[in-house]
Amino acid sequence: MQNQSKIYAKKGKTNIFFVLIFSVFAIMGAVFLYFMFLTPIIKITKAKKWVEVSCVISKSQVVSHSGDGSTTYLVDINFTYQYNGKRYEGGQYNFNNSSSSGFQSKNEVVLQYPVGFQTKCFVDPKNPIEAVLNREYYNDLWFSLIPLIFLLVGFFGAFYFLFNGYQKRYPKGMRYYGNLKDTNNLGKSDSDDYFSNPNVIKEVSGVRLFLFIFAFTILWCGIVLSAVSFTNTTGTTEEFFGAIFSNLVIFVFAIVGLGLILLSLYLFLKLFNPKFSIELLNNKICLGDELKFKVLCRSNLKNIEHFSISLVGMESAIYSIGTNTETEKHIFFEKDIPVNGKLDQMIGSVYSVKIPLDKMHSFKANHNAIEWKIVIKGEIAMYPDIDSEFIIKVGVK
Amino acid sequence: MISAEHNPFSVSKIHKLPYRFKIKDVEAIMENWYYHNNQGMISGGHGVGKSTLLKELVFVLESKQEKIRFVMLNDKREFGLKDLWNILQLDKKSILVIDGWEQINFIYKTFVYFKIKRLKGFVGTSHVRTMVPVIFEASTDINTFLDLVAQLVSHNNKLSLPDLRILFDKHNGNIRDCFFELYDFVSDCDRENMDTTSSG
Amino acid sequence: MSHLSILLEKKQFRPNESIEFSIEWNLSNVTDQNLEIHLFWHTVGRGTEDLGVYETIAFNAQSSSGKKSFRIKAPAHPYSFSGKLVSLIWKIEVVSPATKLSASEVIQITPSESPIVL
Repeated sequence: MQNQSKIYAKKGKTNIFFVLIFSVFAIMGAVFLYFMFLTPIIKITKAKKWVEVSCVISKSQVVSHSGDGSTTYLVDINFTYQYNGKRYEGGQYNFNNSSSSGFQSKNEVVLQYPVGFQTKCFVDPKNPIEAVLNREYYNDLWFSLIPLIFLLVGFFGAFYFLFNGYQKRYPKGMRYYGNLKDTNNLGKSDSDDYFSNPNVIKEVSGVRLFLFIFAFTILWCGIVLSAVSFTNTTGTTEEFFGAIFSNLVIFVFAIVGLGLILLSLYLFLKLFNPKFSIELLNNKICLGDELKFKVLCRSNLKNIEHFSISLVGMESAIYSIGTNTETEKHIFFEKDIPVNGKLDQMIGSVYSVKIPLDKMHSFKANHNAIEWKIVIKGEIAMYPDIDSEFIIKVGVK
Repeated sequence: MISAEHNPFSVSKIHKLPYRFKIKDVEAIMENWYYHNNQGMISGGHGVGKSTLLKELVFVLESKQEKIRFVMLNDKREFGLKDLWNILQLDKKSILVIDGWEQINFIYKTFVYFKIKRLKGFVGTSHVRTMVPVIFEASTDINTFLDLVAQLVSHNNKLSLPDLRILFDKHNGNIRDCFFELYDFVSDCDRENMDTTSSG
Repeated sequence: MSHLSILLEKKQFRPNESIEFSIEWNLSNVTDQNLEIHLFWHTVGRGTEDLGVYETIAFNAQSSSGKKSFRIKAPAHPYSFSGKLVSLIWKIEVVSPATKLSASEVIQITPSESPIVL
């Protein structure tokens, strides 16, 4: 059976693209963090030195804002006070100027400050028009740290793609012009280590990929939601481009966001798939040898259907020039390994398969490779399928 | 199955094809380069032969005993700090050649831009317009493609190929992608049962 | 007219077998008579070429024409093979760096006489 898959990877422009995207996230995170968190903190700190004076409450109510199916509330309290012989009217309860859900907590504050109530306020001696009733840190200040996530993810993401990108996926290529020159000492590879295998080959964890996709999904959806609320509350884009255009653009971005959410969910579910590992029973595996191994798994296997193990030999060729890289793969050998008995009996059993003598051993150069691997597949109803690969080095006698 | 070394569209055979010029000779491009104070960019889309042409220009420069510093960039050969440092160290007599200008990030590009003004010359390839003047716009046409295919399969009249005009249009003139598809097509051919017709 | 050539009695070798060959040269009007012999492999096919030089022998011809025998031990691997996407080809090459003249011969390094076809 022959199979061929194509992987097309771009580099170069993609690097700058991600640098810009993450930079935008970082800048937006910094801006929001400054206004939502740092500015109140600075004001509260300064207000600790303000002068305490008597004041009288002139207005006290909870103001509501409705939009997008939810209502938010804000404490609206006015008070009059005197400073240096002059009369002023203040309107700031505390340094939290944003409205939020939760009517009860705001109402409790308003009930503490009824109209006509005499209390204390704090006045800026350098600018007496500035005054506040409550100069303490408030609970909602913690939520104002959310932009910090955007800032950190954006900063490290931009840093990563600016200086690393996809460089580590492949070994460094050679610099050449005209005639080919030796790449990186590929000519001599007689050491025993070249074909050595570990005793146990474990599956590569998908946690890093999941975390990366998940972080990107949060950033993307955050931007889309911000754009949605901006378009609906201010109406300014509707004046310029019309509601249809702005909503179409957001719709496209929202579809991408939905795709990212589904991908994150898929990767998350895949994390809980049974994790296999292969224990090799041969000291060294060569062409013509009988490969013996055990399949190990610590997870529950009862939902797996159509379980299969096979030995696969694959050639791969990478073509890279300019900004493009193309990888082509072709399976030149595939043999199913008989799996008898129930699933839980299979785990820990010894399997064997003969490596053909007339094929090529494992080989890896910068652009071309011959790989041998043990492939474990299984189907799980309504769940991501199992498709695990374990690369083995097949050497020469 | 046609094995890799017998496939007429293998990378090594394609790389040996000389650049097919639409204009008369390399000297005309060089004149354009001298006119722009020895600065110039070869621009054009993917797979039109920019890198091939660049190598021929470098060959001409080397034959004139010029001091060349060649940097070839691709997915696995990234422009790093070391490259930037080496370029900044170049003396006024050097000519810098960069294949894959768009691979360089904008921060490094800024430094390289300033440096190339102080060198004897610069020539590069790029997919997009840059601040460096374009000395040649590389492009392809169907006749060039048909000629190249004829050169590659000249020793094998029995090879059956798909409709080359349709293939050329499908890939929007990207000859490299056309060759990739032809490679895949030929590699699946049964050697013993090849047709005698060849289209194009 | 200058020329270089490689003479081989056979072209198929087993790994670690001794490769015996001769180099014939005629370097007329050439003062630099240094020659280099390379035993190397390179890939051909769908991907960018890779190349690995296994052994290099440098020698001075000491005359404008002549013939000399050499012996190199074939490597244990990689084997020569032919695939759909990749083929690996071993070659012996002789080069005159001064004149840029070269000659090469393809050899097969496989454990059996039949070539490896994937």
